[in-house]
Amino acid sequence: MTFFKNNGYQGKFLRINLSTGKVYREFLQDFLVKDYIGGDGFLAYFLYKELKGGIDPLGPDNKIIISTGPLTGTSWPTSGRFVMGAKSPLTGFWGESNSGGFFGAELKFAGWDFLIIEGKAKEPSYIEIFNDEVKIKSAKNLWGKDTRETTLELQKSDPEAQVLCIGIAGENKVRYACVISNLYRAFGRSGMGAVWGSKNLKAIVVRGNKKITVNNPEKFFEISKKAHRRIIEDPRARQMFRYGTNLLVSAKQAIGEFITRNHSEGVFEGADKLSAEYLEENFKGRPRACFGCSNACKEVYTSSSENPWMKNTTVEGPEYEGTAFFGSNIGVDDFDFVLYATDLCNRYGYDQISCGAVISFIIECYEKGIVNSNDVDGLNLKWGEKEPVIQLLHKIARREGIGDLLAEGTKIAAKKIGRGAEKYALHVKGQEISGQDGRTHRSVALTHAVGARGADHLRSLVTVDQLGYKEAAAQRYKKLFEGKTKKEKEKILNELCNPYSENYKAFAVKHTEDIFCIRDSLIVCWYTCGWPPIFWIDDFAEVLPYATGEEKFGSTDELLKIGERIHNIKRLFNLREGLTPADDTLPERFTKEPMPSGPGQGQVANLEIMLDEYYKLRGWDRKTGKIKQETLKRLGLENV
Amino acid sequence: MWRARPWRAYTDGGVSIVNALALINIEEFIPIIRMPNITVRFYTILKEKLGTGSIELSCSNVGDCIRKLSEKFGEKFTQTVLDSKGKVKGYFILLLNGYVVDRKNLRKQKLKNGDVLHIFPPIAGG
Repeated sequence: MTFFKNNGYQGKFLRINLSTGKVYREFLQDFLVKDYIGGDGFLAYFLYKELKGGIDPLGPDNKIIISTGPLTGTSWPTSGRFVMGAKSPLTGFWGESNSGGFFGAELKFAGWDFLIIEGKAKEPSYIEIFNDEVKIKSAKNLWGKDTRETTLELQKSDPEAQVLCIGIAGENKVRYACVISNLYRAFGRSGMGAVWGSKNLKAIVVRGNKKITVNNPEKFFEISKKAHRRIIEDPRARQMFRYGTNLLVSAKQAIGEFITRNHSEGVFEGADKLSAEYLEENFKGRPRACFGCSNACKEVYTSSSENPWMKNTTVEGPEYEGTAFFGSNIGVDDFDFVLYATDLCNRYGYDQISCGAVISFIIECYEKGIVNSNDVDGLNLKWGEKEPVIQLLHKIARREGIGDLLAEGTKIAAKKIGRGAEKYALHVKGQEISGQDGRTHRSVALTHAVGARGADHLRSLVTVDQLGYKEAAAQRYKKLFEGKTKKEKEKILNELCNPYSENYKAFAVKHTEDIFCIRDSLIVCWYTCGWPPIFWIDDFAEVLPYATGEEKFGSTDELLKIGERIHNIKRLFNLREGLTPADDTLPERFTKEPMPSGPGQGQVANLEIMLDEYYKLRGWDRKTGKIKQETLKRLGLENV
Repeated sequence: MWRARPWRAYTDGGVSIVNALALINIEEFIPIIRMPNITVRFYTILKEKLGTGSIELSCSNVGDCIRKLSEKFGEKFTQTVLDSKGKVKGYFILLLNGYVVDRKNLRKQKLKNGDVLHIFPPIAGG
């Protein structure tokens, strides 16, 4: 057994047992770095190895892993992100989430590559880490506080300390509760907050002052400087700097994919009042950055003086997803309301996507007569009504009345309601579908269907097959064109970049998934690797050897193999939990209900064609969903 | 199209072409000589530079539309949207009625009355 030398890594991780109160300091082994890199890779390895199949995700046997990567906390741009994983209480399958902010870098400065948190504390607790000193302290005075109150309380003695915490939603184990970082950043998806709540874990505070070394500082800094320059000069990044992700609102509206009234439509009559330009003008949007980032894509808005819930209050966010889920998807075109809902989601600690989706689900059930006023505590749940939505946000976190049912997520809630409610529960594997529509974007149909953590748009969102990015698509998926004539290449490219065609989407999704596993292992931010990317796998292969000294990382083929390995371990995790091909699916809204209006009118997603091709490319058995032996062997997983 | 028997215009002797034309249902000729009326929409930095979020134009194809926008707005448009060769910059997105415009030959993309051309500066998000 050899231990990794410190290059990009601190070479150590913490294992904290909340049941016994014991803290173990362990060393990072060589093979973990070489075969898994960090971040997502470490999550895959440890969660698969250390959890048993069938455990209760809200029981003491579940584990939380919070991990950095070799680039976290360095001068490489967008190096502020970090990942968290556990068995998801929302899906019962693989759970992972990713957040920005400053905590990840601070954890590295404290001298730790990652944390494994086990067991369950006897009483509400929080973990305090200052370099090598680790303490588990009582959080009795914090339990019941929202995330803002908790963070500010824990920063009283040290405003530079970085805090992760849950709100009341996590304490009450709402299945889509999130963990909040830096007041406004979130480990949104997969219900990580509920896992924390089940362990009586309220917060983690970290502070550190150690250095992070890299293998070749001169060359590393040279490349990092160029990387920062690339972001500063990139026109997309400049737009994001100014407008944030709400840039997408107008584009989605134009192509008929702006999710509206529980994904029933793609064109929203109030879109102009949710557009990026309208927000900048009327809500004084300005940018904010995560650690080490030149993109600075986070927008901070100030609510208007007419806002009936919070006048002239500054809130960071929402992202496009939040604007869609608390705007068009519930029939509301009032950004003051969206800001207030976002603030409540942050304070209570909700995944804004799942929470918004649950609310739009119950509104549609009410509109369709499946539930009535008595079923929903007398609330008038109509499209466009705002006050009932506010009431639901309060009720769900506290599990009061109808809130208790909705806290379970759309899958469980729909089953309990019955009477055809399941038709309007838009989830995959139990996790609610995000702000895209597979009818107008075929690759995202596949992305949602096969996501390891359920309906997920971030682990393989292709992007370049929409909006005419042919050059980027040709460069990114060059393997598709190998050995083809010019005419054949043209044909393939046209099909690949046709958002209404199923052709070649499986290749694009699979390839992107593997690369994004690498992205989430380094860890580098999505926004520089998404839309015609600023950074792609070639850039990772260039910088990683200078950071780590590991020559193997200089090969894109080796990196792709590691990415594929990580993704397949997530698949093994899910198979152990009972996943079958029937779970890789979509609600009928996307496969059988034609889009009613807009440019995508009449479209439905033919998922089966894409699934057949995807399984083949993955080397998985189409009937059982299992990974074929030759695939496991190729990836070095045959003895797993 | 012909309201009256055209031969009569010639057998009456000396009937002018103007009179002959009077027999034609002029309104049905209009689509041949009038360009389609379309709406062009601008966003974010382009909207800011041009001072408007949309404009009505008469143009027969997308290439023609870009030319007319260049004439109308001058450098505000050309320096933002076009490269040194006069082509639309690669990171700008052109959507016609919600569909991506084939950028290889903008003149081939014909327009009809009521079309909406969206010109998006680069976008990103997730």
